[in-house]
Amino acid sequence: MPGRPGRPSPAKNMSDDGGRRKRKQRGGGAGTKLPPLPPQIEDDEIEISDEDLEFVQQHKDYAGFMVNLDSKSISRQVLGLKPDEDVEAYYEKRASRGNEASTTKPAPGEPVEDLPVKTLSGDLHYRKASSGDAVDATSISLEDRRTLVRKGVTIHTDDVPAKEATESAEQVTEGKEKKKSKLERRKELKALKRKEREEKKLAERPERESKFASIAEQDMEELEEFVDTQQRRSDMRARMAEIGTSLLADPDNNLGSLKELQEMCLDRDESTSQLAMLSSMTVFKDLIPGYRIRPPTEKELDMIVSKEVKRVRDFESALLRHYQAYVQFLVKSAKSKSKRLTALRCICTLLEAVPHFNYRDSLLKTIVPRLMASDDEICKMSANAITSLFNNFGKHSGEATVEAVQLIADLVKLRNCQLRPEAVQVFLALSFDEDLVRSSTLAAAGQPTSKVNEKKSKREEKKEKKAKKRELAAKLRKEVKSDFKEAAVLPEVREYRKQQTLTLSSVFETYFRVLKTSLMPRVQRELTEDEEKAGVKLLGPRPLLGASLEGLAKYAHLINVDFMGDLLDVLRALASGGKVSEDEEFSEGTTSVWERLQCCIIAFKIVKNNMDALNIDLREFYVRFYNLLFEAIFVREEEKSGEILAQALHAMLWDGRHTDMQRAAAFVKRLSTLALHLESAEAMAALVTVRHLLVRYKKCRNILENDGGGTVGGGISTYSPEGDDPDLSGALSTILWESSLLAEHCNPHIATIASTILTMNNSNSLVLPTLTPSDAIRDYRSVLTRVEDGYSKPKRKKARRSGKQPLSDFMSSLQEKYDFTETAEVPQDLVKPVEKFLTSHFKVMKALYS
Amino acid sequence: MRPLDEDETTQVLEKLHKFVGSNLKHLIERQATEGLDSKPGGYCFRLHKQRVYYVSESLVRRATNISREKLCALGTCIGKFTKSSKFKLVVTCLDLLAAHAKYKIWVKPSAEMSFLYGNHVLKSGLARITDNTPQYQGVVVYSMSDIPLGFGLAAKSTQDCRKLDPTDIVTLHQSDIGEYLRMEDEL
Repeated sequence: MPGRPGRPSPAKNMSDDGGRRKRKQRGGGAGTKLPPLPPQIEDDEIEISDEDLEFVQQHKDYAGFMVNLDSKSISRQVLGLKPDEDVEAYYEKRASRGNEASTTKPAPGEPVEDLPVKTLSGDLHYRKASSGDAVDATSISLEDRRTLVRKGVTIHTDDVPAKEATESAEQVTEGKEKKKSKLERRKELKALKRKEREEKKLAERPERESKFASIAEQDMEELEEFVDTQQRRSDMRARMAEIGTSLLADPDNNLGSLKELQEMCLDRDESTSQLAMLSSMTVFKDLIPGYRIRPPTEKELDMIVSKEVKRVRDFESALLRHYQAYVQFLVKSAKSKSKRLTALRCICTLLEAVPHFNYRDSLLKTIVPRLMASDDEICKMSANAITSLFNNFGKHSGEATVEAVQLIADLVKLRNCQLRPEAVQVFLALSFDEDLVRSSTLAAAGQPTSKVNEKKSKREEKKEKKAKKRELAAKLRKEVKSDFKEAAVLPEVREYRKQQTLTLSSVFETYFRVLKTSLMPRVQRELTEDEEKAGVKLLGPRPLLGASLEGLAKYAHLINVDFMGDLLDVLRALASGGKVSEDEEFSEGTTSVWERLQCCIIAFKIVKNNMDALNIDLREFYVRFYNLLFEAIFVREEEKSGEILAQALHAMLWDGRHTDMQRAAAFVKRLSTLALHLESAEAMAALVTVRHLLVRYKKCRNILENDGGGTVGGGISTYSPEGDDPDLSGALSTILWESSLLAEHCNPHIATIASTILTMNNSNSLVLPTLTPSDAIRDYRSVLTRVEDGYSKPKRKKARRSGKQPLSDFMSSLQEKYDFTETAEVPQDLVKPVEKFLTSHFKVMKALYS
Repeated sequence: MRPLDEDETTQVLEKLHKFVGSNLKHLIERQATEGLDSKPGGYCFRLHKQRVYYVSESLVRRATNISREKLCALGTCIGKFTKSSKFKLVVTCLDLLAAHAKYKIWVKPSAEMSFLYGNHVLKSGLARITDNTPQYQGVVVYSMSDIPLGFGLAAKSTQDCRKLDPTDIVTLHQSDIGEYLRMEDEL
């Protein structure tokens, strides 16, 4: 009531009851709900101000009803007393209760003996309540722990009852301590914690040491007992299994046994140490968390952290320490002869499984140089590891990819490109997000380029205020942004882009380096012993070129336009057989036909991808290709040769948006000439291309029916079959007699397509099946080589056998008779009649078409 | 009509070399197809009334029957010597150049007319260009349907062409087939 002048304190006698009475009236409810009582204040404590008095004096008339109030019944109602109880008695009772409470309050600083006890295992115990049994339980568990581990029982299960006991004890402690003042409690807790920590440290050290010492002793004893190494090995194996299980079951407490495992790695016995290496690798694979452990900074160390955090931090640092030791050991043993394979296998598995974790760089540094190992197995293993690293870039958010690529690039640079092709082949596994590049360009375009000029106005002050506000807002936004960035789990797009740029630049740097060194004249140098060991001699003059070309073809669309000119120059030189100029020639190691073909393909791919920059006519590459076609017949080294040829045909003649008529005619002529000599599949590819060209370039169809010579050839009146330049071959002035001959091909499909080419000029509507060279190679290689099957047609093709020709009749009769394949040796008695028949056949043909 | 002297020959060949490069050899050693001679001869250059003609040898032999004043022209006129005795190619040599040209450019259909009126080819009109064309190289200009339209000099190399503005000149005009109409009298 005091200090509230606006409120009428209506009772004249100023008793506490008066106030209560008034309230009761206002509430109006007939005892259904009790209004809250005002705080209990003694009557004599209330001070009455003059204002109050005055107020009462003024409104005396209104307070008249107070006199008539039944104060007794009201107070009974309010206090919730039974009707027979007296109000006076109630008050007396209440007063005595208050006294009791004040006497039971503890004196500050008294309850020291209530402190819980910290045991060796780090659990809290309440001394009074249940200290006896709890301590017993833990001590037993400690004693037994070692033996239990021996038996393969996890400690975890053993600890549970003890923990429960201690927990209940703690609860008791808490209950008792509840009444202490806050400050005191906090102080006490702090002291406790400090004490705990110290105790823990003190207790742990000797325990661990004693444990290892005892184990070592036991091991020694075992050694003495079992001279037989086999026995020892199996024993060790069992021990490893035990350690492994215990570690996996409860990594928090058993991390120490990693050290034992590491000691086993150093074992004299080879197989034991290898086993230990492998098992610790597995253990680490499972123990390592899904994040990279960052050692806490000094500031963080100084900070007081919760128990939980402290525990995690300790675990992390211990794990990191052990892992570091293990990695160092692996790196060291990767150099030794006997353990090399195992160590490398461990490293590879670790790289594949936990590429995000610490010490990845040292693992990578060990594995990357193994790409040039002379041992096939090691080389393959490391290549596989790196490939998987590239494939699963989500695991390590791309950082490891960048590192690995840069390491490989450095290696290639260091060894002057004298490496196994595997070193560069791994790049093929890389994947680049093209959307990222595109979106970045879009974003750059979208950004406003011009800054809005701020005009000076009359209300400068207001503007300044606004600017200040804006600044503040910007600051806030910046902070929020940075917070958000920290919180975001996925790295930003910009980060990805940066990584991609780094990777790409390293990859292309390597490729370009390989191309450049392939061009350089090879200096005959003495091979050092080291290099001989690495098998440099076996590698050939340009070991990396093939793989690099393959990679360039794959990533051609990502090459910067600025590099295009230089790259094309190099490719041009390579395509012309590694000669820098005409008069300079290398006796050894000119590029192979297939490498040159691939150079052409790449050049076309690059140009095609940058078509929007400038449409370029790659004349020189056409010239190279034109000449290479002849060579391609004679070189059939590998299975893939057909595919490369098909690819080249597709890239240069099929896709090319625009080719000269002269050039097209030259290619038509040369390809059909080739088709006479090639195997069925390649011939098919060539013929398909010929047909395609003839359909696209109507003028070229002159070549189908030419009355001989004339000036259609644009001034070049004679065809030169051996000519170097397709533009000058004069193909338009010759006739495509090859197709007539091919119409008689023993393969019905080729015969069919050749005859469609022949009749192309007469038929008005040409509905063409879409068969690309690559398809042709793929479809017909499998089918057509089986001559004895009678050329079963491929699924998609509807082959219609043209009227039976004498040659095909003859051939089919031969097939029936002798059942030979194309590769098989032809029996001698066959040669004569075949020769005779073919001579007569060609005579007829010559007479027909000349 | 007389064969070219040494100085004139170098001038003519140099000019041609600018366009056809190493194909100049083919141009000179080409076997003639016209005429009734059993042994086809080659081609040669002849100078007549300040004009240079590219003529087959059999035709030259027959032309000797006609007096100098009465002879208008023979073979293909490829160019003329100016009063200051400098050699200039004329549009009639276009067929010859086109057949042997090393470097070509193709113009878009929209830019064809402009070129045929004697203007330079701009970047916007450039449809295609031979790779690796050096600067100031003689190039033959083609339409997109592969019809030779004329010839000129490449103002920029292929590499530089990439970065040009649409209004920059790519090819400097020297001669075009529009001259058959525009300069009918002079030809």
